[in-house]
Amino acid sequence: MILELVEQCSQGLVERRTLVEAIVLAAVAGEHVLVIGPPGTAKSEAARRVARGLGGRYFEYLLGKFSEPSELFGPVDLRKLKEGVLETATQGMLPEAEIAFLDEVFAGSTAILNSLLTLLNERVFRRGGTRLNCPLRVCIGASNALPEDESLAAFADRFLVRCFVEPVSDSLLESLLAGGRQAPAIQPCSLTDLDEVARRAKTVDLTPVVPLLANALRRLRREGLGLSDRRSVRVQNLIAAAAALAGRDQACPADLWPLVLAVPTASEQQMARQALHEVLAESDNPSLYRLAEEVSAGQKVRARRLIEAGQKLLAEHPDPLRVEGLLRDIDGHFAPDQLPPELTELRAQLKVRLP
Amino acid sequence: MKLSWSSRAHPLAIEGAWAQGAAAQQLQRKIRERGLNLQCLDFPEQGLVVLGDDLPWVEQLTYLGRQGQIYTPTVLQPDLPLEWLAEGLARKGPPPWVLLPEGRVLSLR
Repeated sequence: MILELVEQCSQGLVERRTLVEAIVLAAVAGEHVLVIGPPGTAKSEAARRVARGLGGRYFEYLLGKFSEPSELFGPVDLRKLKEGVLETATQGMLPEAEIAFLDEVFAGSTAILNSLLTLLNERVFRRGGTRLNCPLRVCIGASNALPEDESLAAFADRFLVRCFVEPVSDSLLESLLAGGRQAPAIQPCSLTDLDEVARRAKTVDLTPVVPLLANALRRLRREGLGLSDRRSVRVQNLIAAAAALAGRDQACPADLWPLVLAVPTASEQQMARQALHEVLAESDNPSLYRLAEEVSAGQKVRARRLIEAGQKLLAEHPDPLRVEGLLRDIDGHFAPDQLPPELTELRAQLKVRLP
Repeated sequence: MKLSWSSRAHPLAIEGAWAQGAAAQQLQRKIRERGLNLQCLDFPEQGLVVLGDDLPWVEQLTYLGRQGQIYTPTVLQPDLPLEWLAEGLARKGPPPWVLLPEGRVLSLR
């Protein structure tokens, strides 16, 4: 179900599949995502599509210096005010959203950020006499850059998953142009499907990977890439979600890759990947294999991605140029003596399809 | 001293290819037939180097990635810092260079 959802939501969104997968992972883990990248890089489109795919109530807002709390949380309920009670009419606003996208998330006023902090952390909205339990599954915050202001650090820390997007690479501009005119066909599933995976994630047994995770965290500290204690604890939610999405009741070394996503900056994530490459080599996930591959650069999950792509290609009457493209991808990523047997077989099948 | 190589945990992006013998001929034929505008450099006895990312696929081709001024196989990395390598390679000819296992060095200028 999740793999299908990811496929549908990523149609025509060039180089944004990993972002879609990161949002899904965070939604299952009950965590939030911060997307850093220049304007016009399909950040909100990816969030909108996941919201549509999951079938949840969606709220989207572009924050600015002059945004009022009422624009996010709802206006004061005037009927109640006449009775002397200060309450907020939250219908259709962020406190009632199941999936939220907040653009320029650090541009909000202190009043907005304080209310957001509680809402993101505790899933509770408090204002005057209003106290509401929020059904928020995942909030995606976006910004052009990470905040430099120390006072925003505590707020930014609430977004456990960090994704960094760049404009589409030169070689994929044709796909970008073609994809931009395609309306994605998304068959929404139900939020209860997501909730079911999230429920399973909560019961995943992490015992087998705790020593490995602790070692990996120690390694990151030694490299000067230490996570805050809060992030170190919460990253377990992501690992459990990865295991649940892979259909496992018990986490294994293949599920440790989300640790890299919790490292706060792009350059530190890059360093973390190198520092942890031995642990990450085991990474695998049948539902989120693009993200797992990007994060871990693990051979196992890379082979899975190539095998999936190859099987899909072989099921059609493939254009020889696409077959060559995939063979190039295989040969560019695996030395001949390191090709896994399944990939060797696929490679042979692809070769047969060439004229 | 012989340079040792190890597999690269993160393969480089493809920016070129090196081929010899029948593979080089087949690569050249495909490039010609498809009218591809790729930079081809023929080194007698040493093989053919083609630069570009949209390369045809041919069996027995070695795909190359680039780090600084040095092209190496995408899946392998030399076990020496790039700066040291560049210093040594400068004695063999001007940069950029293709560095291949078995000590093969091709200066692309």
